[in-house]
Amino acid sequence: MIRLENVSYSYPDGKPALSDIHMGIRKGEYIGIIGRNGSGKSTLALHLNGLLKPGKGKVMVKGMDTRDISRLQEIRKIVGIVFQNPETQFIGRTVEEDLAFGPENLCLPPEEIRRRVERVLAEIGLENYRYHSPKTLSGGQGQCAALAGTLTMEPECLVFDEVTSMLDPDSGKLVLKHVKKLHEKGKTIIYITHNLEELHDADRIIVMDRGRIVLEGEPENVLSNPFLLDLGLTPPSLMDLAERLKKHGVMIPWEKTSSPSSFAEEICRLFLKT
Amino acid sequence: MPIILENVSLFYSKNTPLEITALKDVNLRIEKGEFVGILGEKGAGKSTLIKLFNGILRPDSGKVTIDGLSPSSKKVKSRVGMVFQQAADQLFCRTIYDEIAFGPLNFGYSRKETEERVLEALEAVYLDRTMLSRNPFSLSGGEMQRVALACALALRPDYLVLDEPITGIDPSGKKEILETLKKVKDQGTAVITVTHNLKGFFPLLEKIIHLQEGRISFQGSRKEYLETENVPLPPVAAMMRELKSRGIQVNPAVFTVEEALEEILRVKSIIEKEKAEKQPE
Amino acid sequence: MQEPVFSYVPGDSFLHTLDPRTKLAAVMLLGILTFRTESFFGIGALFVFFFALTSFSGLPARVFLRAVRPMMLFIIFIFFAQLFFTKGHVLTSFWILHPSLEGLQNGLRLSARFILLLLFAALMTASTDPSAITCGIERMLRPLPLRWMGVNSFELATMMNLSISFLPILFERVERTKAAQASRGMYFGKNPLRSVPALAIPLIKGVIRDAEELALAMESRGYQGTRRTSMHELTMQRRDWIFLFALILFAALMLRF
Repeated sequence: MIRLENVSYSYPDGKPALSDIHMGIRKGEYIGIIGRNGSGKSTLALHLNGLLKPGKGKVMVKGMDTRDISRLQEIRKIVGIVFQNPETQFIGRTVEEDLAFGPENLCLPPEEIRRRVERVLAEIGLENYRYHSPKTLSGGQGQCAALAGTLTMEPECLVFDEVTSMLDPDSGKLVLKHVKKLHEKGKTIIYITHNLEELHDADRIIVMDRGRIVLEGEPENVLSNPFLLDLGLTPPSLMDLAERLKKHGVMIPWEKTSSPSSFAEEICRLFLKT
Repeated sequence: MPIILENVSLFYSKNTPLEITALKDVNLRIEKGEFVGILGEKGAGKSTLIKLFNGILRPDSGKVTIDGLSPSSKKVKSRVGMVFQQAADQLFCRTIYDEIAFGPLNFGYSRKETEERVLEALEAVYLDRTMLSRNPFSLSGGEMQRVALACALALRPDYLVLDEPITGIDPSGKKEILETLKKVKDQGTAVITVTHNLKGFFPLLEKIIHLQEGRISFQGSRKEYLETENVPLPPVAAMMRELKSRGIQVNPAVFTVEEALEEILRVKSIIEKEKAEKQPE
Repeated sequence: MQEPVFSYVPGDSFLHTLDPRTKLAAVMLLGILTFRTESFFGIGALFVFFFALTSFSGLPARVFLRAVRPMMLFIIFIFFAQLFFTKGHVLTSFWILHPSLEGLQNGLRLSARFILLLLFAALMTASTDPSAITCGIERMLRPLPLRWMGVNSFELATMMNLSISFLPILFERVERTKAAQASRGMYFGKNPLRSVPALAIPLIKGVIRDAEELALAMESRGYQGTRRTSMHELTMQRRDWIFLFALILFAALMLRF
């Protein structure tokens, strides 16, 4: 669905941000991207719907080149991005108005815009906040509203750029729940984070460092790779515990390390079976 | 002498229909040299609370004293160092040296004394002397936050107060800041931090204050906290509590991977022994 | 959470269903009327008219009080300034103050006018979805030859929206930076050469960063600064024309007497 071919990009001051990135994203895939600050992951995100154009190489979205200005609007209809800071991505003064912003830019007829706003408000559970200013929402609701503002464009692919890094853990979980639901509905998800605990549901994880892809694979293998420690990325603590228990003959399968309760349940099953 | 809050209440937009209770009947005591975590959801009053510590906000009722003095007196201001969440909100100088020197100069220290303090603060946050002439805006988020930390440390505070110091900072940056804070604490400065990053901070915290809708819902040691119901826990501790509630006799007051490993293996061997004893029958 | 001063209260009353352009025109007309009316009888009539309108809105009175309250200090100030500084028949003297009859009249008139303006504006904003207001303004501006100035009505409307929603963020920034620098021992009064840059530089850098992030978010959602549609369909219905006609009639009557 999205293909990056030999993509390189340098900041205006000449510092390289991405070098020679090769990657393909299939329809319906859930990809996690991790890396330190400055590893190029956010720059990569901005390339996915043509907000940045590659200096070298090309980015193709469903066969359309992001450098082709005449196709940009179409590309942005397909790939939506949710950004880190909820405050600076609201354009409307009310939640409803903000949700309408995207479809209005697509020049959709009023009744279609209202239909979409209605549907997304219900889907994300924001009906009660319709006339609230997005700025008065709590962090978690705010990020959900930002997601809703992207969903009214009805994109096939959603990019989340460190959306939970300013949120408390409970709000983060709320946002992640929506991400998971969207993936189940068949949306392609690209989830960028430096919190490894959030990537349990991903199909594939890409690790970036200094503008390059340094590691790629299934979460089970990538997250336990000791190489991550060299990058300053600590593995999820429950996964770490499961790895260590394995050496003592207690086998906790990977799926069960996703939450404290599933982990505890598995230990009970192992220990108390007669 | 400690920071003491007695029956402190604070309201926003007081005496209007829009009145919001930010803090209600808060009593607390923070001793010198303690490492304190202030936890709670967004809007629970955490940021309001810490602004009382150096007189940025004043309570509508109740009393705040720092070492027996009022927090708005100038003497106290330099004893309480503050670091806010977004370091970029306070950096403005052309060099890191000027940035760190801003505080001491404001408090009227001599050039020589200031220089001494700048170098000391820089060392405390593990930044290199060669960085002194660099522009603070050329730094990464984690480094900026450490410069902001150095700015507060240059005042040699007795209490260092931080608001979400590691939010939005990547894991390696987090580790460096946590190490700095640990060192600061070991040198006798009280560290008081608002945080929701339990995984990172939990091993450091000695005392925990949990706020809920402007009231203190828990105040006590980390050990007591781990035994309290309905408070957010780091993942390992949450799992251990779950195990206990499912009838496995582990010690739930455990939060590191190492301790949990030991605890689980200990219980496992007990269960196996019991099974082995039962089998011959 | 804090309720904004001028805020929309959803509903389906007569006023709610009017076209935003009708209401914009009405507020402008009533504004002109308010400042053209000299007599206390006329001002009284406008208040009566306001209360008549509120009965068509189905809105509680507190909505309008909320609009006036924050300006009350200013209005009281205007009243007393007029009262004491207008020359004329001195009513009574105490200390150095000599309130005059003309001053009393001017003061009452001026403060009543301000209150009326705020009330009419509050009536419109409370009964009109904010995005519909913008949309209405955009439509009203569309026939104007703005192209010569290098903007179009779509851009203007979006800009208006953004500046309104950006103000609170800006204030929050000022508060944050002030708190941070005060903690570093800065006193605003003492040394402006040091304290002004300490406030201004982080503020300007922050605002630029916010603006960059916002621009990306807008572009990402397909904003091109060209033609766009709106979720609101604006059609002038018979009730709009009737309302406007009645209003013009009222205005003509008022100006005549």
